[in-house]
Amino acid sequence: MSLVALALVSPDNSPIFISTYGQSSDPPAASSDPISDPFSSSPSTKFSFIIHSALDHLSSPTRWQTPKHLLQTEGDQNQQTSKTETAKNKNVQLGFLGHIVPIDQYRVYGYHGVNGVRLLCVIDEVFTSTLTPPSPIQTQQRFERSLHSLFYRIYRMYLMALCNPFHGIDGGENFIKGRVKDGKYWYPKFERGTRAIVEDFNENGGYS
Amino acid sequence: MSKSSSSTRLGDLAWSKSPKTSSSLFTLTYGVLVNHLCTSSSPSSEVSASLLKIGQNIGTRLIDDYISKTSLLNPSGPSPCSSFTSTAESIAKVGLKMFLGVTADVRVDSDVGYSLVLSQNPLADFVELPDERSDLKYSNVLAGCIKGCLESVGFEVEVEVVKDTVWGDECLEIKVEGKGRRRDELEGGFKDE
Repeated sequence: MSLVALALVSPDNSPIFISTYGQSSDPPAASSDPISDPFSSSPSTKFSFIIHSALDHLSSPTRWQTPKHLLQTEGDQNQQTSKTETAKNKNVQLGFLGHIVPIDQYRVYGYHGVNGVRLLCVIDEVFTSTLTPPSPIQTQQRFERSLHSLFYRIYRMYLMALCNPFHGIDGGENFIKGRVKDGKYWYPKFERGTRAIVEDFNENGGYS
Repeated sequence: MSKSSSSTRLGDLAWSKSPKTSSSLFTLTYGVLVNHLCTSSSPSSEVSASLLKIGQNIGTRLIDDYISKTSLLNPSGPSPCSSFTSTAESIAKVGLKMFLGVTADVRVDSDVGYSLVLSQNPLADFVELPDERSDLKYSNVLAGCIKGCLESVGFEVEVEVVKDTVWGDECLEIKVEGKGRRRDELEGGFKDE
């Protein structure tokens, strides 16, 4: 399984960051610049659509429960944080949201950050690892645990990018405005760091 | 070298006795200051000059703090710096450690010049300079501080940030060049009546 798209969405459901990764069977013009305008190239449009559908699911009144196998694992700070946050905020599920919705051959997973920002990632369901999994459920659980830590690392990178003192001046209020104004990424460090994390995740066959 | 190790020990001692603050708070406050200067004046050179001036003001006040703390902690210790190059050790191992919590390596270029190389720049965590500000001397306040301190003790200096982590370099390098000693002159002079 490989991660093919990642999106950051602000609390008011406007996109902050969208990026696609990995191979694409579409024309080279679309895939040569993976950080292209989402509304002009076809693979990004497809993933934008998928992410919007997932957002609809997130804003439905259904309460999202962090999967039990994630809560029971000991010694992982991320999960303990989501446990305590759940206890505090009864209305909003924070932390790793787990699997949100399957669309076509993709599955969307989500993470709700403490400041209201949501991270969504699209996983291509084709199992590419050559290892024989012990059992499908255990593989799934292990995969979700590694996804949880991936989300946490990307969220930490986002927070560090927010701490940039030049955020909000000479480049707009958020990532996407800055990008549109300059024609290129305003936060190269964030984009590079995220890409490195995702590529590392994909290279290890979905386990980090 | 014994002087170097005694400076290091003095610096560590001074650091352990100093009150501490959150490094994120400090870094973000400095970032807000630079941000504000950038919005109020246009060219990066003006902002850099303002940061140098701010640093000088800080330095002239900081030197008294430094001298009082070092003489308190080390009453039988080394005497005040006898030569220009000995100020390098004092700044790098004692001064920077006491106030910023980081030490620097000293590279002596000549009798009247040296460079301080900091492997970590505590002012510039999280910072990415926008393209319009790519020539901004973000750490100029540190250079100004060193300049202010040295000028208060009678050394005329030129201090410049040569390399900086915000420009993509691997370290922060500050070059200090001595321009001679300053003799205090009584203003107005005394006239024998």
